[in-house]
Amino acid sequence: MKKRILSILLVAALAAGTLFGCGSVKEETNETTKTIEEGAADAKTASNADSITNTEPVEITIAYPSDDGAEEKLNILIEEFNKSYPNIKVNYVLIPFSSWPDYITKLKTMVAGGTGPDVARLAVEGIQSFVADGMALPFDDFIAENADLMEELGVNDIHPNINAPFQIDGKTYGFAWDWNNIVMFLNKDVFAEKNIELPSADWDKDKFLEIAQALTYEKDGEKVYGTVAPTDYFTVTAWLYNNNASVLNEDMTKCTLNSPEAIETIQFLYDLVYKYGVAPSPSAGLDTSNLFMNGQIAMLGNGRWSIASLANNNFEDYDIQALPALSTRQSSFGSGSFPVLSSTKHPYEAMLFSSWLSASSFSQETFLKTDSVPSRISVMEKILPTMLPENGMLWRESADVAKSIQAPKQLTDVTAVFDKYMSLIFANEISVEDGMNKATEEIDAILAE
Amino acid sequence: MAGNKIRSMHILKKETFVAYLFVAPALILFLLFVGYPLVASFYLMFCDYNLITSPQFVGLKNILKFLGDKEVPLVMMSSLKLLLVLVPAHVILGLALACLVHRTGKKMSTAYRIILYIPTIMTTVSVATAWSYLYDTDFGVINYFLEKLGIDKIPWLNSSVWAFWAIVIFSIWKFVGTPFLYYYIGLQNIPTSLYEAAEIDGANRRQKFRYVTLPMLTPTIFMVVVLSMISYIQCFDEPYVLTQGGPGISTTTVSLYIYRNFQAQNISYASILSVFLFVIIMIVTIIQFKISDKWVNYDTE
Repeated sequence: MKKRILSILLVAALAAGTLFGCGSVKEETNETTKTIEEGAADAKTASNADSITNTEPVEITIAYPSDDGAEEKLNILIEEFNKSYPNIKVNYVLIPFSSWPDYITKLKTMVAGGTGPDVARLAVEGIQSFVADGMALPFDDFIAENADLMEELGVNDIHPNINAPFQIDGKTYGFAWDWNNIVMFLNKDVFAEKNIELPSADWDKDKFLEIAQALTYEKDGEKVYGTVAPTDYFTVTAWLYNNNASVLNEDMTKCTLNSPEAIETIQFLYDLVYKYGVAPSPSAGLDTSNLFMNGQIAMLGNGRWSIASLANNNFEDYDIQALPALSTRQSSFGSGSFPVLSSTKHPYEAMLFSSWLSASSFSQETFLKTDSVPSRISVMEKILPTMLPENGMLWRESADVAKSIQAPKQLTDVTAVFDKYMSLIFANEISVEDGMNKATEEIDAILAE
Repeated sequence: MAGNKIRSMHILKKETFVAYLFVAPALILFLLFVGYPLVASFYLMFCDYNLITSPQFVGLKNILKFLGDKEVPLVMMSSLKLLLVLVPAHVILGLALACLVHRTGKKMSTAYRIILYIPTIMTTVSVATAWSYLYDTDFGVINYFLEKLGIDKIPWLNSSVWAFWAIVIFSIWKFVGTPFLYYYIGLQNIPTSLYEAAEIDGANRRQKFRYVTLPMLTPTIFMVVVLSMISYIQCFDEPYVLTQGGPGISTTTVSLYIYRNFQAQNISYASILSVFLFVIIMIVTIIQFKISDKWVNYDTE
């Protein structure tokens, strides 16, 4: 009798344990979340700024990629936000970030499961797909009815060029908060070692090669390479633009990787490794960031996001310069924002928080000091001259002329094809021309679907 | 006597009930996390699904796309090649290592067991990341030592041919501990009386191995073959971290291909691939079990 009771209790405990185990699985996915309250506001569409102080408290949630210090930064931001808007309680969900496609899938799963956030961090890489799926809420009414608020928050100070990717088919889906383009990071120690001057902004392909060759040598058994050959979509786009080429045509309906200019660009990058020997073979295990800091890579194409890691490692002997011109000079960029999800129950508060996050000087000046470039003109002009690299105002200047990277709604599939053929080309298993022709064929098929 | 019979049936019913209670948690978890998604996948094969709106039935459209996809046979070949190399490697190498370690003394065998088994309990992803640095063409440690020996640097992760071997070498190092352990335990369980009887019959070492050890180990060998096959058909971690399926798609296994499609939110296509994989694994396992009667010997003492 006792044994039976004991065994039944054990089974009950086991069952309860496994059910709680199910619950804790959620925690293991790094979510710290509370669900959205449906209580307070019903259909709260764009309302007058005055009415904020008269409303009941509202809870909204923001989704953000989990990163070193992301939680801390979010807490600081939310605290500051609540000083001006105490009745809007903001919760956050940190999503483990490995790539934009994974992040977007996770967001979509959350929406499908009814636990979607109100606001989500999203970059140009995902906005087209978001809008195409009807997941993003247009801001236009909100902007029209809150012109003074927009001015107050600093929205009008955002560089219009940088903001453009978030204006799709005549509607606005958020304001750009940060942006990046690819510039050449220069290791000043390596340049000094070989007594070579840092390049000027008008350097071209020949000068670049000359410097790269001079800076490829062996020192005490350690190899030093002049540069690195990029193979990722974002960085290669920057080089393509500098040669009057691009991955897709203007309205992103056809692939243009098979143009002579595009093939020439990729051939040049390939030659850096296999003809001139000034760059190491691209490989999954190539740790360019550490090699750069270690003085084993002299010139590295990278974005401003990398200065955080340089600062953390107390590495200060670097500067930047625009990428060398191939046949022309056309910088590229990608920007990020905080779109509001169309499934939100509190559109006004969500758009308010999103605008504040994107545009307020507090948000831009605290968060973006050692990260991507801030989107506001006055903030750029305030911060960039005070921080490393010395040539930081290069970013401010390029904002006027930079062209957005091409991120159609099928970007994930397009990037997969692009990566596939780039890796084959750099593995010497297909010629540049054949690779680009095949890639064009496959990407055209994807875009046509 | 009739009373006894009724009482024992009553007890049997109660025991059965308690047994079901014990199985219930595992069964519920299985149904929730394996059974339901499996059935859902079967349905999603015939739909277009973008995660937000409910699935829309589109009939055979995606299945036709799957049948016409040129990459699927290539991906299957990659998985098959890995399978054909890794399963025999594990079966044979595990056995060889177990026999060798079995012969050493108690202290040394403990040390060897730890050395061989520790890689299996480390997180594959972190270890594979470290190995990717070792494999780097220009800065990696492996090529450094090869160059010292006068061998040209090998593009381990940057060549379709070598990437395959890079994965194989890493995989063997990482996972051979498991079959090794199974075999080792299997060896312990062979009664010494059988060896003594063989000696009396005049068997030498090789004959003892062939006529005593191997037959007695057949259940273990069978288990290792079945488990390795199931595990390696789904090989994901190694290609994902070491080569990202490249160069091109030369080291993309079926699991990695499914993952890529899921990433791109091609849900129905990923479902088709998953069901396809499931069916293959099931067929292979059934065949293995059917054949096993012919060669697996379950005689215990």
